[in-house]
Amino acid sequence: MKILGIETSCDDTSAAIVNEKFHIYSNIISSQKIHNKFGGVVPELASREHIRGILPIVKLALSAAKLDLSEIDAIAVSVRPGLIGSLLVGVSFAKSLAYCLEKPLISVNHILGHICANFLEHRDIEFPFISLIVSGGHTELVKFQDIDNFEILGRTVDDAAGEAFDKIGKILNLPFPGGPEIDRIAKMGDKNSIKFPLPMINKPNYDFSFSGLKTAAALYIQKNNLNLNSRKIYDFAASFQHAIVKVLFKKTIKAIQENGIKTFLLAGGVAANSKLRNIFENYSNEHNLKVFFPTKKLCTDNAAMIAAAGIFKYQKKQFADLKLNASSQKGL
Amino acid sequence: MKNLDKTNPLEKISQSLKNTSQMAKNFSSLLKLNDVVTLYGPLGSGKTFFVKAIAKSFGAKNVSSPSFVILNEYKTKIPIYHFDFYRLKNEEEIANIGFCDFLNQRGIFFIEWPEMSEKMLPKNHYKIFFEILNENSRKITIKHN
Repeated sequence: MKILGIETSCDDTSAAIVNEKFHIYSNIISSQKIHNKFGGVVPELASREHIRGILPIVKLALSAAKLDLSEIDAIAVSVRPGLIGSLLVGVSFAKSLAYCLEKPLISVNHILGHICANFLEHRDIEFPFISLIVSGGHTELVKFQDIDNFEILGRTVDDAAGEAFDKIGKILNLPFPGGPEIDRIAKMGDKNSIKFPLPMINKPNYDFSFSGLKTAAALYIQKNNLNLNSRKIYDFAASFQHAIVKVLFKKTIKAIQENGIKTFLLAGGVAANSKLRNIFENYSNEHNLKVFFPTKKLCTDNAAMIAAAGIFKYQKKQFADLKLNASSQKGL
Repeated sequence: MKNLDKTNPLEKISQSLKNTSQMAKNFSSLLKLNDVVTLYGPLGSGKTFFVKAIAKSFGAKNVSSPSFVILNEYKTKIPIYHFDFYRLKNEEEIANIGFCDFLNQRGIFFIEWPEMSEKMLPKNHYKIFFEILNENSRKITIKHN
């Protein structure tokens, strides 16, 4: 069984083909391939760019997989959350294709897709598990009894963790996205040199808040005239990153312990952060907790993760009809 | 908050989040269907917090920053559209997301980092300026033109 996954929820147009064993035949992402293949810059974000990109990307995904459309068993598409205009392109395309090919259509939540990226690379994940999805747009802590039986334990009440990274990166004039850059320069600094507020760390719930930390960091940069030429920037990056990682870690471990969970899945773009991965790995080595995270290339938006989520839904025969619509509604 | 106009802006110093939240709630009582509110000010000055307080007073749940997704929609009695053009690079990108089409829908519209969208906005709209005075206090100025 082979599933074609389509992802257009934000900047990247992506198409991928994955089978029931979670083998990836191909996983094409616009920002990488179209750029090289067709020359010229692919402007970010515009849904018109998705319209231009979707057909060549799907064709590339098929040719890279050495497969014909007739060999595809179902089409899985990310329907929400995301930018509505962008999502609509993928959803309309998937619906048309499903209709023409008379193949089942599968609706996938983008956040669930991120979590399912883990199944593409790990064969020994067992339910129940807790997952932390952390990216530029999301910070959510979710408990899964089964793939379609889950509960959101906590979420950010203001900014996503990745957003705090990117915005502070921008103030420091680091290249976009700021997260990986801060991760890189933080390695040269002392994480204990600046004490940033750790928002909501002692609150009894599982919610996160990063707006106050972002503001404190922005004011610190201004007050201390931090710039790329000063050595202090390393200490700043290390301390700022440490504050975010610590809050994410503490809240997650609290949820894991209080729910008696033995398996943890990290997901989303910020799952590529080396300190965040380390802290969970170290904990896992000392405690009875299995920790999984995707390799860095599957942390960011891609269609293979959408197809992976589609596999579960195919197996449960959870198909969508042609009335399926995109939505910017948040959450899982 | 009566008599708010171009020549008569409302200027207040907020000393705390609670203070700002109350100001936002007071301001929200002025809002009518299809009003547009733009919010200006540096990062961390309280723009998202202000919109969040208003959205909450309209019954929205789980309000968070739209910086990444550009738009968050809240299906409250009067729909709330919360835009954030922080990530966008030029006017064309704003047009490409269908911004003008959104403004014709039924709702109240909030726009953070609105500088590049100014030409697309209706003539009459609210402008709110946020200024960081120190760690906790912000100067908030509301204009209607």
